Amino acid sequence: MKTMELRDQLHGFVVENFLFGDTEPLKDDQMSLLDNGIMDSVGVMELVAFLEQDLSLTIDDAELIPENLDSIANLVGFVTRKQG
Amino acid sequence: MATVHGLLSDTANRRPEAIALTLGGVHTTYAEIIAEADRTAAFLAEQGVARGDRIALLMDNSPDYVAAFFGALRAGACVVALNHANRAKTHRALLRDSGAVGLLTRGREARNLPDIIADCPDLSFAVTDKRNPKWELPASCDQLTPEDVDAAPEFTRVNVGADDLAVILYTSGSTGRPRGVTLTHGNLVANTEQILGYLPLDETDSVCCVLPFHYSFGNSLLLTHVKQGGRVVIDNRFAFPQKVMETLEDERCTGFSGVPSHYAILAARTDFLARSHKHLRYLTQAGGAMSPALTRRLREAMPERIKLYVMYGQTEASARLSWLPPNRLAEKYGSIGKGIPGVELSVRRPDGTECDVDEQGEIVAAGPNIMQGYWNDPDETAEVLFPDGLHTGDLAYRDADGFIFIVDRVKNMIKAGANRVSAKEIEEAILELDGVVEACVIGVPDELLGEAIEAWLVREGGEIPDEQIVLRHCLAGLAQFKVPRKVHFVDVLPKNSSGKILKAELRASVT
Repeated sequence: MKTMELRDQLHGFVVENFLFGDTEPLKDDQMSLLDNGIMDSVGVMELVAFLEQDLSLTIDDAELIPENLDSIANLVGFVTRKQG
Repeated sequence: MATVHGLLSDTANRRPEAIALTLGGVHTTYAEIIAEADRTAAFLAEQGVARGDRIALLMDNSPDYVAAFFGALRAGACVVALNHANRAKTHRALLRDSGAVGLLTRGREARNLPDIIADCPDLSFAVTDKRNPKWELPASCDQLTPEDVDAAPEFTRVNVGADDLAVILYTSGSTGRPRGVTLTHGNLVANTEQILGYLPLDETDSVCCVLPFHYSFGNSLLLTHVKQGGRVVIDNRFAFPQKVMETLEDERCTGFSGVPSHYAILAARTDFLARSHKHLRYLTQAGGAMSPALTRRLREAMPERIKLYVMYGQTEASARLSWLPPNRLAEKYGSIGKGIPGVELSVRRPDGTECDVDEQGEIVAAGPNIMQGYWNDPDETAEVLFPDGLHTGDLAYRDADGFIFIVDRVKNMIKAGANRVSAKEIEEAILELDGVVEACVIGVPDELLGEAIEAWLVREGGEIPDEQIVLRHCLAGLAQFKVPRKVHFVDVLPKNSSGKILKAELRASVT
């Protein structure tokens, strides 16, 4: 999958599931989803379920860290590495 | 007379250089906390805050929160601890409801300040460490900074007693409108001592705290450790549970406290159950019933020396009401135990008489930790406070050994046809199925039955079991009228910030 397509898919998931379609609070791809109240601990579990089911990734417990999951940019980087 | 801030000053006098808090590897001593609390108290006095005035706190768990909390109490104020998971609209409603005269907030919590403080006629100042030049704030509310707090003159002691209000903690009410639980210094000090009557903590203890201090369970962790001169290790990153595992190990924590969803996530997504936990001495669990299956798994996975305390409480009781002694856990899975020292816990019939063994009734609690009532709400108060104590709304029975088992919330009973049905009983039946992680059963309006039973399930991995398997399993173990009419499969159940399932939201989704 091309990077932009992947980015749009991840962005779409976050907007759809955590912001119910409102893109406004997600100002840029670098912003922390957690610090900005977009995603909480249950949301992280939901996001991980999405990555595992829809993107067919196998995610190790040790990979559940902000560096991989806490922004759109981090997510794109993480998924790209996993798929690579 | 004992006060909540007296717990801090006693410990700060006794052990000034001991570490009170750790956050992100940075330690704060008791002497530092009390010095900052005194500056806050002096600042509040300078702002004209008088005994009994409400001061709202909107902060993440941090040394700033703890200093502001004790500082406000030392100034004679009553703390309104706001839940930072709420939206600006809710904060505003609670500021108005409580009549708070000041708001102390920090960092990202202040990002919606104009919305939060709009139309709050009683609010005369807000302290934030960040300002946005575009903000248009009401002229009646001074915007001040932590530097203003630091510049305040010497603090003059304010006379505060056990009967003064210490905190207002807002909880969700059965009506959907938040209710402000009012707790005095006497209530909180009593409950702190009651907890220490069964949970032995001392100055060598360090608890890993992932529970917010604005939540009564989190507040009780803070107060018990402050009283004993122990250490609270704050970790606000539970969304990344492996980070919490590192904190637990790196900071050599002796205790961990969580609600059922914390333990469910730790078990599912970390190596929590596999670790040896060299320093850990105990785990405490409250904030709703944990499934007997997870409780058993946790107990069996933990080394023998780590005690698991299953507890029960309500904000209306300051925090804690019951505990299940760890050495009785294996024979009493599913029980909330017995009343903690100083709390009289009974199971009563609607006429107020005590139920017999195994007879279902409502849990009634009496003791010096029970709230004064709901803030400015005599009607709601009269619904729960009676001469015999706090009517908890929890339906339970007591076994022959005196251990209490909660069956359901009184108000969460489903009336399906002529039958009163316990949602919890059905949930537990469904949870026996492999592959079901969470289950929630409610009654939804139905023309024929009054209420029809519907179940919401979260499946591990999102696959099997399917609806037919679930219904077949229910039918095998339950009377036919207890089998759900419909099963909904969801990725997550809607929960409030304390991890409790929002049944009203599920009900609204199908009506």
